[in-house]
Amino acid sequence: MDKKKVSSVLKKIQQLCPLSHSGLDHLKHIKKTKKNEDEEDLYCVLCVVPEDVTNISHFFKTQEINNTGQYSNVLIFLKELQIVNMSDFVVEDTTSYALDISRVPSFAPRTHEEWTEWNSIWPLKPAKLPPNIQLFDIKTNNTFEGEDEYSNLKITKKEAEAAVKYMKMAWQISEEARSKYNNVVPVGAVIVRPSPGQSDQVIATCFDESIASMSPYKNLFDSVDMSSSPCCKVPLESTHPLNHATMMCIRKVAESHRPLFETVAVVDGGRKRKLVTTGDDDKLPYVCTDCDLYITHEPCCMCAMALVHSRIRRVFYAVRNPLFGGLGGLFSIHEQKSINHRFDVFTWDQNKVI
Amino acid sequence: MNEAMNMAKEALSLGEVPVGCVLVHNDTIIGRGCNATVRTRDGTRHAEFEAFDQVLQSGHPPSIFRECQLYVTVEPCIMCASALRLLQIESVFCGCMNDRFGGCGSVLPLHDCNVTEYRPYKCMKGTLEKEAIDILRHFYVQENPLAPQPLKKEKKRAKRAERLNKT
Ligand SMILES: [Zn+2]
Ligand SMILES: [Zn+2]
Repeated sequence: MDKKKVSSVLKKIQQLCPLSHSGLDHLKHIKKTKKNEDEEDLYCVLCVVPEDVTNISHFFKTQEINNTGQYSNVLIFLKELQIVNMSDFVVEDTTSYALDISRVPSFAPRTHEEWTEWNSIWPLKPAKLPPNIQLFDIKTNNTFEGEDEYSNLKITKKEAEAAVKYMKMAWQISEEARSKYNNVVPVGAVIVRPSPGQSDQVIATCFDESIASMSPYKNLFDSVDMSSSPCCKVPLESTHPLNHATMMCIRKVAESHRPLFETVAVVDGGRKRKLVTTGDDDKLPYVCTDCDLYITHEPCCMCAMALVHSRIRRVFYAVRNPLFGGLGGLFSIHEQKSINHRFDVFTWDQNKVI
Repeated sequence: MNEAMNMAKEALSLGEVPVGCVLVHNDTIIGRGCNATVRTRDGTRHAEFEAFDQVLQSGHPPSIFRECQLYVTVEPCIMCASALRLLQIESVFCGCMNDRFGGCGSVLPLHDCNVTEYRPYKCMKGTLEKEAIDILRHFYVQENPLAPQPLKKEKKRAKRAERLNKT
C-alpha cells in the first residue's frame, strides 16, 4: 500500500474520529501488525462502541462518527485501510475490508508496569509517567527503602517524606468528617505552602462538602473498588454539588489572601482603569502559587482546571478516578499543550493504596 | 444572550475580564454572573460559578440545572464546562470560542466526552459573536494589573479576537 496514501487516509481518520472525544488521548491512533515479510496490517481506532453491540457493520453505518458520548470502552477498528474511500467516509468495497472490535486500555497508564502491559494490548503514546516507585503505603505505613529510588524523581527524599505526612493528614481530615455524613468518608484535601528555611505552612484543610445532606454513597473504606468513589460521584440532591474538597481549599486560600489586597478599581469613562492595592503586588501571593495539594482522591476535571487557574505547584493524590479524573484518570489537564500553567502530579501504586 | 452581554459589560466596569452569563429556566432568568476573579482574588470565580451560586442561594434545588440553559459570552473553560456536566445542564449557548481554555470542544470536549454518569449537553456557538469578541478586545487594550504575569490565555484570546475580526 502506497505510504503517501496511507498517511493522508490516516490524517482524515484522525480528524473525523479524534481520540480526545472518547477520553482515549493516551492511545496511538494506529496499530500495525506484521502479516508476513512484506505485508503489514493496519488497524485504526474509529470510535467507541457499547458492550452489547453484536452487528458491527450495522452499528458503524448508523453511527454518527463524532458522537461517541454514551459508550463504554470497546473500540471498533478498521482493517486494510486502502479499501476505504475517505472523501465521504464510506466503505466502498464491502468484500475486502473488515470492521472489528478490540479492547483497549480505557485510561492513561499511571506506572511503568501498566504502560508496558497495556502497550502490548494497544500501542500507547509515550507517557510522562509518575515516579516508578511506591512513595507511600497508607495501609502498612511503609515509606521508602533506599536512597537510590529518588534519583529519577522530581522531588527529594525529604519532600517525599513530607508528602507522606501531608497525605496522612488528608486521610485524617476525611476520617474526621465521617460522623457528619452518616459514616461516609468524604474526599479530604490539604494545601501546603512550603517556606524555605522555615517549617511548611498548612494553609487550607477541607473535605468534600458537596455530599452534605444526601443519601451516602459507598463508604470508601468498605468499597472494594476504590476507584469508583471519587469526588465527582455526588448526586445532585446535595446542597451544593460543586463544593468538592479542592474547590473548598482554593476558596479558603483566596479568602485568606483577600485582606492583603484592598483593591479599588477606578474606571474613567469606561476606558482607562487603575487598580490601587494596599500592598506591594509583587510580594503578595497569587492564589496557590508555590503551593502543593495533597488529596485522598484524584481531582475531577473541574477541580483539575481550578488548580490550573490557581497556579498550583504540585499535586499528590492517592486514589485514581477513571470516571472523571482530570489528572490522568480521564484527561491529563495538567499536561495540556494549550494551557499556560503546568504542574507535576504524583501518585502512589494503586494496588497499595488503602 | 443580550442579558449575558450586559453582565459582561458589568464585569468590564468592575475591572474584570469581561465575561458574563445568565441561566434560564422556563424562559425566566434565574441566575446571573460576571467574572469575579479580580475582586475575590480567586482565579476560579468565573461568571458561571457566580451564576450557579446565585441560583442555589435563592433556594432552588441543584436539580433545577437539569432544565436550565446557560447563555455565556465566551465558551466555558474546562473547569466550567466540567461543572456544567456535573450539574447536567440542558444546553449551552456561547458567543465566541476560547482557544486556550475552552472546555466545550476548543481544547477538550467536556460537553460530550464519554462519561456515562452524566448526560452530555449541546453547546451552540456564535450567538452575538462579534460583540463578545469586541468587548474582550476592548479589555485587552488595557493590561490585567493583577495577574502574576501577562496572562497568555487572554492575550491569545485577544489575538484570536483580532483575527476573527479581520475575516
Ligand atoms: Zn472535583
Ligand atoms: Zn470558566
